Amino acid sequence: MRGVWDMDYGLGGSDLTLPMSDIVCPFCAMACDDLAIAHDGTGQLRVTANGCARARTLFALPALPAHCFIKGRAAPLDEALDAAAGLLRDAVSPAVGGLSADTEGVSAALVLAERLGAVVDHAASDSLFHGLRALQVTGAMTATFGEIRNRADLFVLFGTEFERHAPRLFDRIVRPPTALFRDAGAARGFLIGPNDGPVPDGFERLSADLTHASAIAAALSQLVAGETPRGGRVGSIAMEELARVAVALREARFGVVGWVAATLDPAAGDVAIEAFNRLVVTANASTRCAGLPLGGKGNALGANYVCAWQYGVPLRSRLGAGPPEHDPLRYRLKSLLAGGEVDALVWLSALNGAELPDTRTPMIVLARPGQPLPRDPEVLIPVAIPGLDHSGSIHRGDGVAALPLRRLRTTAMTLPSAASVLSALLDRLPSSHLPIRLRKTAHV
Amino acid sequence: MSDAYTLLRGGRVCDPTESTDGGRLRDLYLKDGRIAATPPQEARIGEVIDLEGRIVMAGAIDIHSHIGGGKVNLARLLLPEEHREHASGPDGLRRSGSGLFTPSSFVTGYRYAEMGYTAAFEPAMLPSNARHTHLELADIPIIDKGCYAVLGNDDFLLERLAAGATQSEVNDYVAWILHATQAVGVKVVNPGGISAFKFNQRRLDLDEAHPHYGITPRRILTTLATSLSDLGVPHPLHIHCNNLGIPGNEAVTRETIAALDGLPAHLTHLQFHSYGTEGDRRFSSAAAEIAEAVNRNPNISVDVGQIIFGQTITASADIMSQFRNSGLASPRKWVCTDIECDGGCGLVPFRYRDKAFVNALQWAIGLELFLLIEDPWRAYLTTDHPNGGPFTSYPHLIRLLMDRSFRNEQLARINPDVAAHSRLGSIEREYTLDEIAIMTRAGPARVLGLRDRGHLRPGAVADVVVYDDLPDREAMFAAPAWVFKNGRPVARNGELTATGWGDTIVVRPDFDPAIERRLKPWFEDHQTVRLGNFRIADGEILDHGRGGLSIVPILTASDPCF
Repeated sequence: MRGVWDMDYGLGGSDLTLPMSDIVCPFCAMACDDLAIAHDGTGQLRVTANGCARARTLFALPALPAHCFIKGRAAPLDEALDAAAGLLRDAVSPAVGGLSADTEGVSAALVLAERLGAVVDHAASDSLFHGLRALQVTGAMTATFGEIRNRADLFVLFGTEFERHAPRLFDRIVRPPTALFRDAGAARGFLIGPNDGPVPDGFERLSADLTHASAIAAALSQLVAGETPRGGRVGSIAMEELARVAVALREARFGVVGWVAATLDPAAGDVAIEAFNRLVVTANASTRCAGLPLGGKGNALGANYVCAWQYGVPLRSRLGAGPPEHDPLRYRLKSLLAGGEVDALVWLSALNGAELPDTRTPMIVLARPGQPLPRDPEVLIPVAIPGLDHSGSIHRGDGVAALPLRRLRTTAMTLPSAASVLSALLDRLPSSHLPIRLRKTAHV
Repeated sequence: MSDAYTLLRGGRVCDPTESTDGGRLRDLYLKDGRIAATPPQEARIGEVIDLEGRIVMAGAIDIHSHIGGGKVNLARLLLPEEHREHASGPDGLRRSGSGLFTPSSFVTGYRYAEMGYTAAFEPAMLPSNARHTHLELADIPIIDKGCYAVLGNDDFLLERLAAGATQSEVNDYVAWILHATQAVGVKVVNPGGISAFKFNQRRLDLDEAHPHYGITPRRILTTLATSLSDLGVPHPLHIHCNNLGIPGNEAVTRETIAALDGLPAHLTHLQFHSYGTEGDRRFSSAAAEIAEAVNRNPNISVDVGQIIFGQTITASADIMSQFRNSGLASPRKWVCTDIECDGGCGLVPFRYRDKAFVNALQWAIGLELFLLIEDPWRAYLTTDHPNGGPFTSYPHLIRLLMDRSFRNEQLARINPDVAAHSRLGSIEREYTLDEIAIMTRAGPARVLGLRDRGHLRPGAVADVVVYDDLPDREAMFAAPAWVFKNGRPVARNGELTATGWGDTIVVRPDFDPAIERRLKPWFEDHQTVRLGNFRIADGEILDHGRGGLSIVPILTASDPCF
């Protein structure tokens, strides 16, 4: 008889049965989902296949029964929440930062921010905003990991330390074991950036200071379009070398222009990404080509997505003090903290990549076990790690895939999730705010 | 459960599944979230609301509206200017939010509910983006929602078709996708064309072979339409035809209808596919020819995708068309993405201008289609939100359909060449209230297989909208006097009064799970997500405590269908 259905519809919120395979790693934007994990019964997890060095370290974080602390003094959770609420109740210009968490953790942090009238930003948003500001000027033409895995026959990659920023990029995407429309093993391409580390087979390094990335990409656009840029060198690369890259892009069936935003000029990463985008669009006049942003951790892209769908605006916005107000420069949390413009900070670090900011601002920290603490914050509440200690979801860095996180261990004393701590904190705050009329919008 | 009834007394109930006499005076009883039969004398009546002859309809259903998922969210990020201009703060009831044509999730739910819409369907969920889409939809309050999974450019299907897969294998795959992505239907977008663009082909006609697989769009279309019919999925294949927006595309649209050869199918945003090549500018209305084809083929339903003048963004899986149109972007920024050997995404901001010949003609073509397609049971009201304009312009559109003099006033304002040559001014038809109730409620419910929505007979979900019978139909439909969702009042005079969570509507046809033996290695060898992580478990939707899953029954041999 047909229709015997073996999907486990109940799986979402429950434990995974052994053996644990196809586990999603929540610790960077590659979001590899093929890990094999074993555990020893005491809550200690071990990556037994397919993880990178970072995954091996972070999955092995202990599930410690941890205390809350108020100014360095151990305290029960209720007391810590009361202290946190007290701090926030008096705040005039609060902020909710870090945001290194799963979808639900981020959602709960945004609700809290909306209640407080707080600025929201992610710990790793500088790289994120290079791409976002470029998007808002020129748009983008990109492809996702799966498309590139099967199709890309040429890679032009700007950046450095690819293995650190995009672990397993070469194994999974550039030179995968199998591909549908190209010779999987024979990927070729160019690395444009500082002369460090080995060059993978089939690749060629064009040494350049990445502060010149936008000029290099602009010259490449001209060359791809058949124009002749002025001068003999761009950013220390000889024009003849760039001409070879341009010919390769024109001759590729599906070229990729990739970049690690975190390694671009901090002052002008957005300008470089605009130039990459123009290069991609130029190449698409005659053949196919796609952009590929790389890097990111702590579910930064996911945090930005959640903010965008719930409020219509990206991070670096002030929520709840009237309509959402977005300003990528004014509401950069690092700048606000440096300028002493925040009087109470909620810092969420349930995943990685959200090191505590160096600030004297009174701080309520929700941190995973193993989070380094440079000083005792006003309130410290330990939280569980999404994808190890509880279920949830995160977004992959290419923007298309949201991946399921599952609980991999249960221990005698399981830490609360960030979402549950944040909603308990919300319950302790007054539901104030004058009613603000929904602004009338005329029909177009 | 409660033992008390809510009585809506003395309304003119406009339920075209019962009668089409423009609404007859009838009391409505609501109990436990459903419409109840008239209770016995001794029954306890709780609240009584006197409707004093106001018009009562079922909650409206938007069959095609891009309300969430990767491309909608990217559109929000692309246009901070839109969100700066249209924004609202929290008010104790409503969460804050922003956007007009790409509203944030909470605002989407509020605005729909305030307009008397109680369900909306996201029509372009790429399977690879399904989890993201459901996460977003979980944050749309009040209304019920559902998604159509996009197939027909996915390499798995194309490869299997090229390899000579049987119809039954395709059926198993289609059903598997519906389950795994928690979808209620299947949409095909530019069949074969999105994939062909990845091989650097810029256009694909109905009988043109795909550059890699050698199969034709015709084959993809008919195979998928047959699948849904074989599986008994109530909503037939939802088709975005080839060559969207290209002058002369009416030919491929009519050929598509002919290719279906009686198979049930839904042609979406038909306006964008009804263009001829006559006249000095080689761009003309083919609405009459297309309407005639629809009228003659009772297996076909359509939604129109009316354009509304003003700023919006076009958001489509049809990257082939969107790349072609990218030069028209206003403001000058756009996004195209090739996605996961699955599909694509193209975002092109656009301003429809009433004095521009092309836009004015598009406007007229949409209205001609509405007015020339005779059967409102098969033609549904959409703007293809946000592609033709925001869903908040529906009340304006309803007035255009119901009020000929208003329509002709608008016609007089647009590009004079279009106004002079369009047949629109000569069309006398005015939609009746019954016909509006059909095209916005009963019709969409029927074509989606929603047996307990879209009508007000006992047993229906108590999604009820009460309107003041105003001569200005735009004002009437913009601000209903009352809106009830699941029997609870949620809006009064067009303003939200309560919020809550609706259901996710899905369909689950039977199939042979052996298809997973073929799919599992495909995911491992050619995708970047494993099969077990691709599937969305019920718990992922239910565990948020935000509405349930509502499963649409499969059609049986005795069910009436197209």
